[in-house]
Amino acid sequence: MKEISITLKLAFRNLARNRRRSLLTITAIAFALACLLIFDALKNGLHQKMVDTTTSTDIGSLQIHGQGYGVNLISLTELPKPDEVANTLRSMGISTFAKRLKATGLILAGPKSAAVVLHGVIAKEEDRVTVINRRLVQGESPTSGKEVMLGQGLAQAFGLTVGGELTIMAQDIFGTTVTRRFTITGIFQTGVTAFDQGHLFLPLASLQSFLDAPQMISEIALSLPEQDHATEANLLRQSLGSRYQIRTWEEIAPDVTQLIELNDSTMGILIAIVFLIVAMGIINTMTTITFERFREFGTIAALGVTPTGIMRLVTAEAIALGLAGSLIGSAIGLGCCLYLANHGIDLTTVTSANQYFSNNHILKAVMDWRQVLTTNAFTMLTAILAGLPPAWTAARQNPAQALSHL
Amino acid sequence: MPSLTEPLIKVSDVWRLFGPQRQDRALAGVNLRVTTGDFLCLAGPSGSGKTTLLNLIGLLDLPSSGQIEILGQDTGNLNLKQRALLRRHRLGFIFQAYNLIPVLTAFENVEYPLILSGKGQQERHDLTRQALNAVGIAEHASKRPSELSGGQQQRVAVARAIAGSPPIILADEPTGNLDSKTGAALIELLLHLNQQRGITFLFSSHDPNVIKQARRIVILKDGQIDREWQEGKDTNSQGIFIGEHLTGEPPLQGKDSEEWCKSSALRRK
Repeated sequence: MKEISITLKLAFRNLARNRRRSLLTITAIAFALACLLIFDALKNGLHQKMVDTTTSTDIGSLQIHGQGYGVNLISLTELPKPDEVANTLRSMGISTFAKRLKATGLILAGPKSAAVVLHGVIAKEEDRVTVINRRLVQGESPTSGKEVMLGQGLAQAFGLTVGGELTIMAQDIFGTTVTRRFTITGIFQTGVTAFDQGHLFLPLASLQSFLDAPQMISEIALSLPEQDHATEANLLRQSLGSRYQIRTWEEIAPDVTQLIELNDSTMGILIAIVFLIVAMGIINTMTTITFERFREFGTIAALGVTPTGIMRLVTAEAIALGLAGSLIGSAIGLGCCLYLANHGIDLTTVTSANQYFSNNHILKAVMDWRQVLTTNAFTMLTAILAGLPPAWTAARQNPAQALSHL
Repeated sequence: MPSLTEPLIKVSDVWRLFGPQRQDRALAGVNLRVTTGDFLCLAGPSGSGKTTLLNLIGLLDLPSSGQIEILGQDTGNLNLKQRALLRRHRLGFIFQAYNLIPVLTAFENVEYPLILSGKGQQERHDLTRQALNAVGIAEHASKRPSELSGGQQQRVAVARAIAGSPPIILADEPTGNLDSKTGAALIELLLHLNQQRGITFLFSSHDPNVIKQARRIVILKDGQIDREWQEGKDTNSQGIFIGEHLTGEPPLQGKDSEEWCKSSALRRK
């Protein structure tokens, strides 16, 4: 304990001995760490934006379907006993869900036609799960039997405006082709081009009537506060049984998950490079320090400091550099993250066409304390590992040679 | 502790060879016994092997062959840690360039080996103060080495070496960086400690002023012990011995050692 105390005293005083060099090393570590924390927090913010956009446009956090449901299947797959499912959800404390009927159809307007997904929704429920009604750029949400709301891309392609009419052709529950004319009450724009060009909303009762499927529900979408819903999904699978198909947004939109994974991997490579640079900085400093102080190491070896003790001293100096860099870097990084979490960065000039920035172009930082701790832990680990080679050199030096070192 | 007759240090046929083909002989078959209370000077010209022998006895270096026993313990089979621990508990060192830790104060420098040896705080502080008082440097205890003169720094180094009362203190050219007056005072201090505390001193020097203080002189030449003189054992006076064997020129008839040393020192200047 006493030896550790004198080792720490020596380590700190030795670092203070060449303040400029120590400060430069600490600054480099702190700068790298602060940058990593900021990059990580902005990356989290970007991922949150991607997930929010993905889940709040249509998918929700989780979806419940009847077994056999397939996204591209033309045939309707009924969700059995939707009211019982709704009660189960309520009993689990989940109230943010929306019952839906989804079907594929064809819209016809003059000489043009396009395949679309028809969404039969209850506006009040849908508002708890998606932002579709808040993305209206013209008119209002449909409320009665023959009213419809469509995306701006589709409206522009067909030359349709609010008040105009279009014909929808679909297969009803019996497989019979049905057509009906609808009046356009609203035009929405989510910013997700594919969605705006291929989705059409109408009241749930209206679609049920059109498809001759009264009371039929094909999907319940849930909005949950956390981004990781595997636990809830498993609970629901246990509660609802095998008649239901429960999928998280990650399973429904794997492309987003893959993109997030790709970002994480890229960030991982960046972090590795930064840590390598930090390590080289520390190795450089520690090697210089060690080389300059060979005589001192020879002296303390003569006084009876063991090779382990010398290693401990050099490593302690490396750790002190890492610790100081970590503390300062964390303070700067977290300060910047805090600012960016509140104010964000306006990316208007670079993200105008990006689907994930359709709500706004402000990228906000989202701090993850686990990442902050991990990044700091890696910084310390890097400092320790970087300190080991010069420490080893100092410890293995022949004391007689070290004492004669100029 | 070994008995008075049993040597504290026993060097048997020690060789130290350097160079890629081990062609350079720093020591060639040295045999030496140092007993308790010795105040022994290793003398000889530069390159004679004084420092190499001290380094080997101090366990700072390994011999190419031969055996070194410290306090009856054969050091040949000791690993690096065991060698460090033996130095910590049994040996004190004084270096030509003082070798104080620059970031520690005089007090902390003296206290450092006591911390290593695991002594409690109160005992450490008492021993440190005693050591600083013994070398007459107590008033500079809070100063760092850079704030002290060479002589003061060497006194701190002596205090560091004696604080833990090791049975043996090795000093390589302890006066080498000091002026003659300060050097003489330092050797007097070491002699005083040798007589008062019974510490065995083994030091090297090529300065006749320093060598003349020794109670035993071992002259090294080309890595071998050339001659040896011991107070009370040899009939030759010390001055004649020094004159004959260290200057390379015979001393003038009837000149006593003190006169010889003065003139020798003047010649050296």
